[in-house]
Amino acid sequence: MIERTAVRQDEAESRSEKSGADCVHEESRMKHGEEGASSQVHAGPNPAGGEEASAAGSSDQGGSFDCNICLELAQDPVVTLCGHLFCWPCLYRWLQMHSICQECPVCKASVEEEKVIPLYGRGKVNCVDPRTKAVPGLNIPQRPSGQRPETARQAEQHYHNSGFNFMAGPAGPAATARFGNITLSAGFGLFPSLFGFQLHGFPDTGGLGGGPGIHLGTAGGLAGSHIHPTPPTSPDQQQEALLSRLLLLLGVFVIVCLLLF
Amino acid sequence: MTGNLPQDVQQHSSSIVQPAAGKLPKPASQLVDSHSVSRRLQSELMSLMTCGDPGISAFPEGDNIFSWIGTIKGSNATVYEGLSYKLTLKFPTDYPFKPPVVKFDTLCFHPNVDQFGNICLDILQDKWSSAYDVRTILLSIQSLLGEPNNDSPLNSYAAALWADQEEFKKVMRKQYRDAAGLTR
Ligand SMILES: [Zn+2]
Ligand SMILES: [Zn+2]
Repeated sequence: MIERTAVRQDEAESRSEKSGADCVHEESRMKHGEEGASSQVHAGPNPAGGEEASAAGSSDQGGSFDCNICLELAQDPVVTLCGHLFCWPCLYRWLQMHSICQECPVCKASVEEEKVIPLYGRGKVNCVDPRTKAVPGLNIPQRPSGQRPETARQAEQHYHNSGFNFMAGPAGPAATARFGNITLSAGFGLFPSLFGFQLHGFPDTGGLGGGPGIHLGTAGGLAGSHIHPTPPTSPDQQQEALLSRLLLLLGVFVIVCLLLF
Repeated sequence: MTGNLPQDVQQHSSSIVQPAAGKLPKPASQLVDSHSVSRRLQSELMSLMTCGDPGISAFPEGDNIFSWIGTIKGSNATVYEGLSYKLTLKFPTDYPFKPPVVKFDTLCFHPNVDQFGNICLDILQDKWSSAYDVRTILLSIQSLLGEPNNDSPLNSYAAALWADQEEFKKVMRKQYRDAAGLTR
């Protein structure tokens, strides 16, 4: 038996493979053809005219928000992890009818009810409970609710609480050192010979705005240093600034030593 | 984690458990109202008419939107080039969750089509997906004409003959002409 189905997304697929052993496996080939062909759908002129706009309008406009099962604008929209959009009632019925091997109707990726993502637009959210809709004989449960990842600010606090961090960014390694309220960060860009130091001191009392900033830049041995001190306004801040600078210079010295030896 | 999230999850999981208890597929007629089925079929008809794929067409038979007549033209560079085949498509009341029954109306000499016009094609049986539609069905039958699966034939004579394309073409064209003469 020839196995034409070349693209396999999950092992669930292979489980169900044996059942259709007698027939031509057209499935995957059709999928590929569909990609190309579907672009033609919307290329042609629309002889239907304006009167059909309400019925066919969604498909004429590309149908990006149409359910892949009922072909209408998705009601109670949910999106699978593979990114395919459905009405929740439509997807639920499909999964119920194929409870042995639950897969996306469009791409055959495995679909778990629990991992379906609901889409909450600005419109009538939860205006109609899907369960109250008249579908005789089938009790469609409420859409799975969205999952909330930790808020960004909370996640950042872990970073602020620790005194010393090394972070590796995608563009190159970057080391960030934090002493008290002074940040030393050294970034190595795409060119290893070019690196710069950025040093910022923030006084405790002056908030974030009034601190002195010192930027030392070294490029390939030719050192150019830029110092931008912002005049502090109070004696407290002046002391803070002085301390900051001393610590900064110390820090720079340490880093330079580390780099040279 | 926000405070009310675990609650949500609990509510959610309990609502999932409830229907899962009766997870057996329910009788077809109960699942889908015929109104939404005919709406979907109307929408398919509309897109078929507007997209104008070469070589395929389909239209409801009379007033019954659940029964269509389709036409497929043999693709170029296949033995079926220039021939035209009629098919019937019968849609169940739980379409598109279940596939339509598709048969050749015109006699079709092909390894995967029997003398009654039944077609052996996985997407019309266990590989059906509700994302398929009339258009994709007809397009895949059209491509099946030129690329049969000779390992699981419904017509073993046609399957054996396929290797000799000239002979296959002669036999197939003769049958096509005879059938056409018989019906007209
Ligand atoms: Zn839908
Ligand atoms: Zn998918």
